[in-house]
Amino acid sequence: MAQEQGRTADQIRERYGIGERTLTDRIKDNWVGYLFIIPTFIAFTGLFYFPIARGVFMTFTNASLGVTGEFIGLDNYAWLLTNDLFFYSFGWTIVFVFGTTFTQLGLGVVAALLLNELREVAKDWVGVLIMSPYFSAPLAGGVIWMWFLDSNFGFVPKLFGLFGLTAPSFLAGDFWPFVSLIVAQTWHDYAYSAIIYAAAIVSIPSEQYEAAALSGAGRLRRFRDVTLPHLLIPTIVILSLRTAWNIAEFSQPFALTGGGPGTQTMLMSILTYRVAFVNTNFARAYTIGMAMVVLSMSAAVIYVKAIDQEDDLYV
Amino acid sequence: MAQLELDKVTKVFDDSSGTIVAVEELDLDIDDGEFVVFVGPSGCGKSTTLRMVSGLETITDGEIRLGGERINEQSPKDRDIAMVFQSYALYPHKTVRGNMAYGLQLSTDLDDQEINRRVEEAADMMGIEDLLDKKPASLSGGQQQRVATGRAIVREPAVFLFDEPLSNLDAKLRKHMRTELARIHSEVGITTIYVTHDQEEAMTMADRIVILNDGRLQQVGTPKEVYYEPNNRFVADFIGSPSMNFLDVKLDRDGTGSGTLVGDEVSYKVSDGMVGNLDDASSDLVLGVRPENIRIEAGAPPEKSIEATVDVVEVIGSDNFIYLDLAGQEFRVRTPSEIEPEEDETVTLTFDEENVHLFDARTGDALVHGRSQASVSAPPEQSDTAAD
Amino acid sequence: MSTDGRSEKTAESTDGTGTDRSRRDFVKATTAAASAGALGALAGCTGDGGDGGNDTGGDTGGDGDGNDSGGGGGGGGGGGSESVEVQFLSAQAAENSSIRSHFQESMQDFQEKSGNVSVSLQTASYGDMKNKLASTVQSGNPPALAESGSAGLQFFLNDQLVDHTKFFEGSDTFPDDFTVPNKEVANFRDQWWSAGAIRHTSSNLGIRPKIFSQVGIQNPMEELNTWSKFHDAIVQIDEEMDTIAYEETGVAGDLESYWGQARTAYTGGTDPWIRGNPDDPDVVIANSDMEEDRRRTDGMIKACIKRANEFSSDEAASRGDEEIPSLMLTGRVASFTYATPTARRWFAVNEDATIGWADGEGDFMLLPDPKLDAEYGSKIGVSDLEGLEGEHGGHVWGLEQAHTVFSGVSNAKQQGAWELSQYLFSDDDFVLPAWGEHYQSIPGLATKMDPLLNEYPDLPQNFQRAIENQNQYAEQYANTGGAWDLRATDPIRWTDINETISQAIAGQHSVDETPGLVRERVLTRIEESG
Repeated sequence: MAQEQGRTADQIRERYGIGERTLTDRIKDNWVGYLFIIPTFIAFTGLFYFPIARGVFMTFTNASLGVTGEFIGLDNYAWLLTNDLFFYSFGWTIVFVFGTTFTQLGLGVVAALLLNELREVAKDWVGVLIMSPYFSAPLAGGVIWMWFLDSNFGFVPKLFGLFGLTAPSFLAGDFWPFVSLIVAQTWHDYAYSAIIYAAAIVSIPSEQYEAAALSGAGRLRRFRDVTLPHLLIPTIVILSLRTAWNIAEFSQPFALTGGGPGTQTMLMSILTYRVAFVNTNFARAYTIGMAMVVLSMSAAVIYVKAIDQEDDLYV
Repeated sequence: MAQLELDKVTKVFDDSSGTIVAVEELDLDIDDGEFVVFVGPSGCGKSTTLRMVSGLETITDGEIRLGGERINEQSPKDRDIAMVFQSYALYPHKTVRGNMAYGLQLSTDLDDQEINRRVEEAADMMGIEDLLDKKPASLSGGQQQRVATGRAIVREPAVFLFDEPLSNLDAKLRKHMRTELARIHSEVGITTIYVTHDQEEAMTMADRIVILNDGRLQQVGTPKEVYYEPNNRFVADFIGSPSMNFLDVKLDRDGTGSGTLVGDEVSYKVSDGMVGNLDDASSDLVLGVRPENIRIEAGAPPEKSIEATVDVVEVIGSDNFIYLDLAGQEFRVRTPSEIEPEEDETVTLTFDEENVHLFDARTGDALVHGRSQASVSAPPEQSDTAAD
Repeated sequence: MSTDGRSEKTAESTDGTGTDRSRRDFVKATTAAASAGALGALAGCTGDGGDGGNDTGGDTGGDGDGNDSGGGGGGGGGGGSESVEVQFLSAQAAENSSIRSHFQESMQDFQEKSGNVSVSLQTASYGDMKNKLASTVQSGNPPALAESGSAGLQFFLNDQLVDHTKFFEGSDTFPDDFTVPNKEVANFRDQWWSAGAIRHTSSNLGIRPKIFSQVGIQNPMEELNTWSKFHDAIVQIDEEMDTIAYEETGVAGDLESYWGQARTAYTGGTDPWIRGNPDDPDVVIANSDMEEDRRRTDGMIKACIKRANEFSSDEAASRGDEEIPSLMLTGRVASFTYATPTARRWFAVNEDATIGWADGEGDFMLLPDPKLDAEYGSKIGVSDLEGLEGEHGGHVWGLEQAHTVFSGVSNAKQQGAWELSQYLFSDDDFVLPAWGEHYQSIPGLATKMDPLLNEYPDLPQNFQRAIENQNQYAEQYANTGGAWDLRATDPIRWTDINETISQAIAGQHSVDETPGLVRERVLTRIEESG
């Protein structure tokens, strides 16, 4: 505005006596606001940032059960980089996380599409059904799957038995435990992507489908050309969040295999627990935790980059 | 040929929320190249009719024929119909070019070069050549509207359908696009059905106007026909702005065949030519007269005038809208801007018999129009401000 | 914060904006201050979160009333000496509901007897104990007495425990009346760091008589007393019956079964793993300098893996001991070496379970671990063991149940905690029902064995047999790791030894390379922990 009127901001300020506002001025005007913020600020610093900073510091010490420990430099990181089990669990964690996350995505789309096709009442009920695993405690999820897969008492082996087949040992050997963990984890959280996808699908204007139909697009074509493009942004959001959560996932895999048989399904989260509470080496546990943070952050960066690529999507 | 016939077309929505007749036994013939506007209040069935024509809605009963061929069972993509939506329904992830080419890619076997040529041709016609490589989100509302229209044009369909295409634009742009669309229509000459709730849009654009209410056809006719000879009170009320004044009256005949229309604080003498043919039984009448046909005239003959008290004067520049109180009812008058009575002033109003419409009070059907169609000479004076 | 708010308020109101404004400001300020206060309270809560866990009745899902002991029942206010409340964190009390209520009643009993010490009983499962202790100790709020288990050693090394030696010196019974394992467990390099384990259980051979009788066994004590004889029997079961002939409890946390097996390659209680001066210990595993003992130790590691591969289910590497009773009582598992004296576990699965041989009709029976005989090496295909013999009843627990008194509490509480531990060890009102009835196990004081047997003459077979094993192998019945006096005892036992063997059972590395891997890991661990 100032430009259009041919005046500078300073001229206008001068004309109407508007002084430069200092920090004290602003505090004076808004002190009550600051007062309200202070508790949150303190709480966040004290309960969130401080522990994180402390955790990072701890990785440079030999802290263990009950003691803060002394500074030992990079020893914990050296230990990490020479530890076979850590590398193994790092690799398996990546497989687990991506296997789980992408299966959750696929299943989430299918569930969301199904929900979208249903009538109101059925939608509510099927919605509840789909969501229920997500709202069950992960530990309970582990127990449920244990009951499902247990070779002796499990439901799935019994089902195989009905058809005269012998089920493989889902929680033993060097193949099935991996599959079981990924399937169970997918089951537990796919509803999250279903919720987000369902919301995205509902918000797609029906006219776009109708326009496409009039243009000669069949059902599949409409899904590809209208639905899918609208799911891209939600997909990135789901990917980032689910990846982070799946990396941190502990309860259900712990309940289901606890990292076993042997250490075959040792996720980094379970390894962290074991190092902390079996070997009581808290500093090293934190160091593994740092690796998990790095992993989540790298994934997030990759996803954000992907968004950048699609930056011009809606512009 | 792209002649479109609707034969007793009926649509019933029957679901858990109730059974609704959206369109009932609609008969309509639309000639090749004709520009027909469906108008009516919301819920009157105009959009439903359009969607039945497009194939997006099934037809409960009746038949729709395109070029003489029944199309009830054809899927939308087989009907050779293009539609422009109120929300434009542009694909956000495709460029303007991609949006416009999409239909051609899917429904024709033209090669890329040919498609490109047609897209550019249509873009040229719509004046959007510069926008071809942009995404819809970066366009203004008017530009999006052009793209949506261009997307329909490029397919060179047998029938164009427009579903309230201008209602998301501001008033000024809307008027501009009206003429723009009219121009396009005259250039391509494709049979067009245009749905709007705005009677002014209908009046300015249509070859013929189709007025619907409650799923039933009220009147089909040229803009002048529906303005000067509305079939019934609904049409009379809907067309024109501000809308027609209605007064409940009874006809007192005198010996000569002429008579006086008498109502609350109203008495208006009409000639034999006007009421001579009226059935005596229909003595409960409604007198209709448009605000623009009423004059404020202190010296008007008492038997042809009405007294009323001014409530509000609305100045709109070219004209004044004057809202008066007549026996507790609102009475609207449109006057030239220099005539501006004081509020609470009692004024004398008069109007010519030829501008009087008489309706049956019970059925609402029109009985007599003061001016027969034959005598219509001047185009209707249309408001261009109200009811936007 | 609230004073800040008030001064700001007066400054505002003198601006002349009127009383209305200042009142509103006051309300806003008070609200802000109040919310800050609430947050502070919240922080306070988190601060002593460990303490907050004392209503552990809900925590472990038991009978609900964790610590109602504070209630005036024992109120020994009268006697001149100041009354003190002692926090006691127990895992034993969380093992089952009947031992839990016995603990709760006994705390009342102790209060009445001691007059001025009341107890706030808290519980945590053995699995949660380290976690819980870590948070309470870290927050400077340790319990006075805790069943710290092996984690207690860590606290001792951190100087967070009292020196129990002063208590021992003033005691007639400690450590003289201790069981053999307790003498090793409670002592670390000649210091008494712990009050010892109030009870022991052992892991021994467990069989299902109904199955073994079908392959011709009539007198299991004789016919299954060596690994070779046992081997022949399970080979037959494996071939003839649709059942798991032998199930290894192969998850790292439950491989105590192997600890018992390892000892059967020796006689006289020789430690199979680590011996000598704790500052420079001899690691026997894969130690080519100690060839014969290396053969015994490595051989038993290999035999454990081979037996699991040959006779156990696919799930062996992740099999926990708590799964076995239901598998054995339904005939799916014929034998294992994690059988404990606690009969309750079996009755919890099936009230009508028959424990004992019962003419070959029993559901479950406890036997000593088989003796190593000269032929077993060739039978199981482990050449290291060929020609070697040894015998031992099985593994005994002790370190896991070690009770410790923390130094982070007042002297009066330390004294009260010690008195409480003495009560838990020696008061017949607590000891006899606890270990004879509620949770069958061997008392922590050797002198309590006879009173227990007198009080409960009709013991279930498995308990009876466990006691006999204890008597038979008396002096050599040591606790794994207790005698090592190493700082890293726990990770060596659970991670370096057990997890490596568990990995081998899961097929992650070969049988033959396992002892070498264990050795490597143990040596690294000792080097790191000093």
